[in-house]
Amino acid sequence: MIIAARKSLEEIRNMLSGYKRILVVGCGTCVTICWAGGEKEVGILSSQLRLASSKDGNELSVMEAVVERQCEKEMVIEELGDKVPGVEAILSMGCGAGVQTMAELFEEKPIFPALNTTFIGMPEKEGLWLEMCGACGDCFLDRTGGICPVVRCAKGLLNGPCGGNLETRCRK
Amino acid sequence: MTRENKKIIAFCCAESAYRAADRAGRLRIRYPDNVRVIRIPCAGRVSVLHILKAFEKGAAGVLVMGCQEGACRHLTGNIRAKERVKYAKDLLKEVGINGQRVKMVNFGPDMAQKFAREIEEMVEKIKEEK
Repeated sequence: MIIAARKSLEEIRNMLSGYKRILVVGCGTCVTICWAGGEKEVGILSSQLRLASSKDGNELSVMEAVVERQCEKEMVIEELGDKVPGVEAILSMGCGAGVQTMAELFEEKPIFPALNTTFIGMPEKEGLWLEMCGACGDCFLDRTGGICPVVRCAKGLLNGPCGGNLETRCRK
Repeated sequence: MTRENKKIIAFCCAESAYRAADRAGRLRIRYPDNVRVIRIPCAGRVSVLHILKAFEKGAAGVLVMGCQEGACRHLTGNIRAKERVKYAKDLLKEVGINGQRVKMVNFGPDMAQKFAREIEEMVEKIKEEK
């Protein structure tokens, strides 16, 4: 699962300065599960943007939408095809793949990312995700007992333990 | 209270705070009239979005009123509400709204005086900020 975290409101507002009609688009897959860009988070961010702009005395029209999978062109077109023409800019709450899919589909509109895509991970418990995969394209988990030494090593070493070992084992 | 005063939204748990509000009415306890009481089945029903929407629609303050800790009929509703209020405070601060404008209060069903007092306190807080 792709893990992401939302950018600060200040950063998002700086990106959107000058636009009056925006569409906030969430993704219903990975980022929904890691509480970064699902339907609820789209609602929260939109609400924050409206509150912040009305406090500053600016007019900002914020529309909301959620695509089941933002990285699939068919789904994006089906969900957003009729919504995009009416807005000046799109704020994507999907991962990097989602943002780029939208940028390819809606070339005439500026697309802004609202999330920082961080890693491929696994939910350990509520609110905690562990980095499990670096998507290196050269998987050798068959030789390492199902544990990726590169991603799960603090130093990213393949042939650990490093100088910081404790009784031949990793301190981590 | 005059009509010019901004609204305060009180989400009241049907098992405790709503009964306290009802009791305050029956006991003829006076409290500011700019409060709007919304009956909810449990404080745990209130989501962060409900709180933000209230501010978006022009509320000056939001009170989430639930049962006392350990007394929730749905076991953890009031604890969840407390965490959500904490989260909402952070979100509001990010926007530039004072986090004190949203508050979680724990009640017993017979605490009519406390109900009136909490609303008065919120009204005062909002007045101070202006």
